[in-house]
Amino acid sequence: MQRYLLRRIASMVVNLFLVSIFIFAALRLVPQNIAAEVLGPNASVEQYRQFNHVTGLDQPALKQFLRWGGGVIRGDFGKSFRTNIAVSSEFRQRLPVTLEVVVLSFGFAAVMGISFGALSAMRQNSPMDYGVRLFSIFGLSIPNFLLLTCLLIFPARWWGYAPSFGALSFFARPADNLQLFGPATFLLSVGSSAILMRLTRSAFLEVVRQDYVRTARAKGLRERAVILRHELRNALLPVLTLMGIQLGGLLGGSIILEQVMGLPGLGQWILGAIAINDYPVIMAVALYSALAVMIINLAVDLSYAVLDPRVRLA
Amino acid sequence: MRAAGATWVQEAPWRPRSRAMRLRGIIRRQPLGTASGFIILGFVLVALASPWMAPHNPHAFVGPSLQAPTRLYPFGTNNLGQDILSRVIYGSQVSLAVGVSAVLLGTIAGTTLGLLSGYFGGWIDMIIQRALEIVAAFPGLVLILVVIAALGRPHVSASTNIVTLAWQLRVIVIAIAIGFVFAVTRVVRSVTIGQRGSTYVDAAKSCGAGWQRVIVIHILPNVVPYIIVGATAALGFAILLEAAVSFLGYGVPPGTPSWGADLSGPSRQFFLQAPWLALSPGAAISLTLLGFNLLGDSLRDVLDPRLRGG
Amino acid sequence: MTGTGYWPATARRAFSRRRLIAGGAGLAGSAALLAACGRSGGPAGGANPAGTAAKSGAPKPGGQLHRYYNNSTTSLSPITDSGERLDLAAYHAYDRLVSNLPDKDYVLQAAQTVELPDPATVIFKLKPGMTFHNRPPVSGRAVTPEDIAKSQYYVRDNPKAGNNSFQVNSLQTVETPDAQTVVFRLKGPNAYLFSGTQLADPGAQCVFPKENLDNLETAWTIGSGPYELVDYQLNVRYLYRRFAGYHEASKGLPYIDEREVKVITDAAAQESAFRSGQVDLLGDAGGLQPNALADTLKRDMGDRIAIDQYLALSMLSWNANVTKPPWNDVRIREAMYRLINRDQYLSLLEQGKGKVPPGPLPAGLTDYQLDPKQTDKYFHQDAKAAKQLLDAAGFPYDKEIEIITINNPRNNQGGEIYQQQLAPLGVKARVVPLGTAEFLGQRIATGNWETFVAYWPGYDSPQVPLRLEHTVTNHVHKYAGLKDPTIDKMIEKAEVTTDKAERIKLVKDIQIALLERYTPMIYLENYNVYTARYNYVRDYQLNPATVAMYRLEAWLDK
Repeated sequence: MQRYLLRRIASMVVNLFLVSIFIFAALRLVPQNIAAEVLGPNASVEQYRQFNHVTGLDQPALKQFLRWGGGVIRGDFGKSFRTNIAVSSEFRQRLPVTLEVVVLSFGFAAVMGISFGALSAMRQNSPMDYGVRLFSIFGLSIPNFLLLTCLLIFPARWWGYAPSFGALSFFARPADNLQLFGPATFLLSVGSSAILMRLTRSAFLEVVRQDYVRTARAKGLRERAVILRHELRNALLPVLTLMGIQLGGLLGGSIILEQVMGLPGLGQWILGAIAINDYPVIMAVALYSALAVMIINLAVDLSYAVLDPRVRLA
Repeated sequence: MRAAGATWVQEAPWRPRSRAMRLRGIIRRQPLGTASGFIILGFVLVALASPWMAPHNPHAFVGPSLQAPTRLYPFGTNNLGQDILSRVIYGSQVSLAVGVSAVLLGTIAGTTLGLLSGYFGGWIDMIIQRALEIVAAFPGLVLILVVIAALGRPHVSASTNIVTLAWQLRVIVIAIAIGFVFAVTRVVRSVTIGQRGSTYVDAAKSCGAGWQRVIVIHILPNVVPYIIVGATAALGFAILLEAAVSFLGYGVPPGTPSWGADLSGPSRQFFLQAPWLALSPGAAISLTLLGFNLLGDSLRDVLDPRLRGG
Repeated sequence: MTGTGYWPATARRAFSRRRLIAGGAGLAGSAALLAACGRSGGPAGGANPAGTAAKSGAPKPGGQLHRYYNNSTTSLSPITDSGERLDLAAYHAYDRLVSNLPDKDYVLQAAQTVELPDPATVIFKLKPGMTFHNRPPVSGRAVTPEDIAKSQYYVRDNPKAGNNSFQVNSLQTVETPDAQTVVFRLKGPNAYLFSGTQLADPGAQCVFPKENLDNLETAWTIGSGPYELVDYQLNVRYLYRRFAGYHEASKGLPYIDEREVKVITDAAAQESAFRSGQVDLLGDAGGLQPNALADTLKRDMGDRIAIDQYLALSMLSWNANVTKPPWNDVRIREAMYRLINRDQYLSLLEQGKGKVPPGPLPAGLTDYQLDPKQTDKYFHQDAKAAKQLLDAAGFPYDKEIEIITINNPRNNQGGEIYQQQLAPLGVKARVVPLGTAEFLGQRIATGNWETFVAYWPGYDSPQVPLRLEHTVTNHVHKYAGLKDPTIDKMIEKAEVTTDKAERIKLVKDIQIALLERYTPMIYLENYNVYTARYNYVRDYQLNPATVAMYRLEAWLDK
């Protein structure tokens, strides 16, 4: 297990390195005059030169990359071109917002998806089953930005209700915070929970028919033991992979949520950075999301090993 | 309960069935699949025939501002007086153009890479896999945004037909296609690896067939069924991604009728007073995605009998 | 979001699917019913016992005012960040020597008296006992003339300054003879000295403490204004509390204890926040978008809110680059005058609420307006004449005209309208939206543009609008306007004519001259600004020139 972990982590580091080269090269494909964008058109030639010198933009690409990489190893991700604030400190401020969005929406999706999927499978063809299947097919088809826009439109029109904007820290004002994050992340989770519902349902249906389940019941095990010890474990295996994929998708979905609700998280940050080619910010956020996806994949693989003793980590 | 795998058994003596009866049979067995087929057919038709189906020019200011749906303007008008129905109809052009092109590009690129990677193995395989892992490391939307940031946002002239539209929006097409390549490559690669050791491949090689011939004529046909199922699902996803990117403002240039773009931009300030501005493109995109999702399910049923049962 | 789910096939599949569809129909039906019920208007506005037209009554101190700012902020400096300049710190935390109101030349703020012994010298005597907020490193020390002098020079030397035209073009030096006096020596007479771009500029004229001048962007905002910054999260939320040491505090001003400003950039979210009572004002920085929202809000919220209105000084204009062919040909410019229907911009973008200015000057500058009967002949619509002019001038119909806009919804739609107005004549055009920095820095400043349609900030004097027509504009828009040497001289003369009547006559002559030569800057429309506020917000008035909330007399009747 340890050797496997070490090998995976080493592989992740190599991948991160390659990813950073990829983004770095991609961003520099089309040359941009960033100094003019940041300093405005009225600056003198001397000031443009100064800007390019301080940010290192006047160096050849390879040198820029080495300089950036050297900084990263020390934990310094540079400074945003636009605000001149250190990327790492602003990252630390914005990360909790995005984390909360992703955790909440993933939590909703997982809880709703798996529980309703399982219940629906166990009470096959009941009205609830139809409801779940109907919900999931519509939940897949309605885009999350449409749902979020409706959250802004209709409650305000009908009931004079709006999520409490500007409330951010969970620890400072938990009620307001949940009032802002709760409805929006719930709507964001609808698509993912729909997929999870369907997959869980069919995975359970597969498992229920298996012989070992019948054997367990014949042995006289209580229903709950049957479910927990046999059905759930085996049904969850394909579901886990899907959950990993969904989590990655929710990272992208959080960009939309932050944009619509105006939350100052990483998604809003990278959107603004892309508009003006703020390289340090784009690199940091893109790298972070790549790292997050890699960690999720690792977690999924590890949980496979936990759930299924047949799986041997190669 | 019937045993798993049992097929439909007719009790009556066998009679040749007319085409209409066969059709009804299909509809009865796959009602949702048929419905989805109609939806998608309708979508493609509307997209291809937009110039003739749309009652007005989507850019022209034809009606009063912010008019609620009436007989003359069935989906109402926006603040410029543009007919929303026409904009929704023309929006399907963008969705179809970008969606089909992205899936085509991604599938062709992915299949090629997968075939090469699976057939040759060795360091070709390793390079291709490594390169794709990098690309696959990003969540979908982030990757698209980075690619669009790198290549620049598209400009659209007064577009005439779907093909030129797809070309003008090629940056978005490339960005979405890149996201698909990894998944396609992985599937094709595993099939290729499974096939490359089989007897007929050996037979072909011993006849003196070059690797190109072996790949294209012998292995490729086995890969195709897997691609088709994936491609239909991917098409729906590509349409969704284009709408999301246009919604964020990094897709089609403003003013171009696109389902995602019409949910953002200038119309947002009117949504609370004129909800049809949001509901019309929203319903269009939801319906189209519904069609693709149902179609994907039906295709899976038909092509993969193992998944029936229960 | 793709379907990797499985669709289980049972032998009873046909039957179960029928049930599914029936269930679905039921759900859809009830959802439609719910939607129909909910849509009939919002919460009914209860009758406000005080009434909207009731007199203000005696102001009550206290309370917290909630507002929003509609754009992202990137720093704390009112010199470079537009949020801080147009709203936040500039209007809460900082003070200025003078400000202005439309019907008054200037209003004293930090200055106790203003004297002009000669047209190029301004002597300010400061109010006694003014101090900065009590926070290190400034720690509540007295405001000195040195702070003011250093602030002026800082703005002059800062290339990223949003507006430093006064310091760069008019100010020569600042003298500080004693602890209560500041003397501005100007380069020459300045006809527009107290206008909103000069001494009444909200951002460029802030009194900054000299300790913070090196890092205005990141240092905690410390000023001598009516409110102190007590808490903030950049680009999210700013909280200001009344400053007891403000020079008007003895009169009880400001009345409102605290002001909270949240950053809400999405238009739908802003309206949601207002309807739910999270913010007390909607559109108070630039107006409701769109104008028609005023009617909807009044209908939905009834007596709980009041709508205020004024004519904006900000206008929408069409510009062509006179240095680029074919726009240097006066026939082509005249063709545009025949072709561009200005009323359509007003009706489509502003729902007809506003005014089309009669000449090349914002309609809100009422003193300087020409008589529409004089100018109609330049603007009348004639598509046939337009076509003849274009053909005579050899206009290249096969080329696509590039219309650049700043990428925001209203600007983009303005560009679209122009594109549509060209279409019937067979002129092809393409709207190219750009980020602000790219628009200004890479296109406008370098002259690398053909035409644009854009909204301008509000100017409360003809100075900037006329300067834009000059060959040397002193502005990032170097290539706008006509650039005719004869008219240049007239513009320069108007800028030093301190006698108002004479200046008015001169400005009118300039406008006629510009129209005669069909200046490539067509003023399309000025819109009405509507702002909504809850009724309990009293005495809250806006200054159309600076779109300012700089009214300390506001109070909350709660």
